[in-house]
Amino acid sequence: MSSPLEQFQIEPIVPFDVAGVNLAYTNSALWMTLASLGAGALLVASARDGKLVPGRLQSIGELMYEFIATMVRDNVGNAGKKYFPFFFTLFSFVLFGNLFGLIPGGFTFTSHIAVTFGMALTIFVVITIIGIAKHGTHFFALFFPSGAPLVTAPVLIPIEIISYMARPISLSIRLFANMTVGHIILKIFAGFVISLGAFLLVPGIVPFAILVGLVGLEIFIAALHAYIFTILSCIYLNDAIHLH
Amino acid sequence: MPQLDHTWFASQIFWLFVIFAIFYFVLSKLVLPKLGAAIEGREKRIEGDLARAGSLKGESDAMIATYEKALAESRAKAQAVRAETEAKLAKEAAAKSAELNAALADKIKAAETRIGQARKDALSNVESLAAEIAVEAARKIAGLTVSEADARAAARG
Repeated sequence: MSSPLEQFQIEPIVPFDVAGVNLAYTNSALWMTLASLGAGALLVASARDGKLVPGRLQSIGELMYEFIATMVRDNVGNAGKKYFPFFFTLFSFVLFGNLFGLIPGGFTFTSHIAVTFGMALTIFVVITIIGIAKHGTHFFALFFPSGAPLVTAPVLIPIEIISYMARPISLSIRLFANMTVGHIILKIFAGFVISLGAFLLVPGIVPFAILVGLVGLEIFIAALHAYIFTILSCIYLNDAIHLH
Repeated sequence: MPQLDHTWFASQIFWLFVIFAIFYFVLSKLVLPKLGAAIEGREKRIEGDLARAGSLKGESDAMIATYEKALAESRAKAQAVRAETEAKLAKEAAAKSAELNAALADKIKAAETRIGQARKDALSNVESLAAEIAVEAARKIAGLTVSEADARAAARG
């Protein structure tokens, strides 16, 4: 039986290098493409008619639109309006990446720290730049809560800086770890099904039943972590725009 | 753990940026404006419909008020006409009954006069009869001749 970690193995499909840097088109990139194409096709089809009374397809797009619009409005306020398309794209990208990863034989690009950290770090850097552009040096007041006694500064400021710097790390590890662990568990239970006899009533049916439940749980976790990733990004943006 | 194999870090991040950028472009140009327009259009439509319903309700309220007013006016008019007619009828009836009463009183008076006359006549008849009987009785019984005038005075007592 193959290792449960084998599913995370990256295989090059179209290898190429730019100035000695390996930028091969891999199975990870392929599933990124498929997830984006799937989400894009669904959403384009959903937005096509723009009917007064939406059908099922249009409702999917509108529900996602309203969901993210409400999230951005509630967490960032009116200043967040212009970042709405970004958050919508981020949510769709992570959500469909997680969901497409659950297709048997598929590849979960969100279970790779390089991808999640790439997203989290980019968001972190851009949000920090937005904050500095908006507030100038006053932005660094973020590291010292207003109203705290000045004596506490030597302790508070390093803590605040560390907690701020830890944001992209916690954001990326949360998604990566959840996806990885979920898929490892699925793989292990799937292995039990095969090794105990998949189509014998007992005992193969037991891990099979558990596996069915776990897939449902993983679908929920896929949606939940897309939501968490997006809402935390919103909250970080809000901190940068409105400070404390 | 394949996730920590740095051979593929650059490739993953590169394709992440490329694919995310294309995805962002497609969503922000092709999807979100249309979805937003559909949602906003629906909200506008609902608002417009509500406003129209409100103004129609106002109109119908005004119409009802006008109708009620007309109804009240005609009711008042009818009341007035009735009161006037009643008063007129009462006056006429009073006049007629007064006239009738007067006529009846005249008739009663005439009848009383007539009755009085008849009684007087009857009484005088009785007087002369009594006198005559007295004169005759006196003559026959006592052999006296009594003048009729004395007999009449005696009968009158």
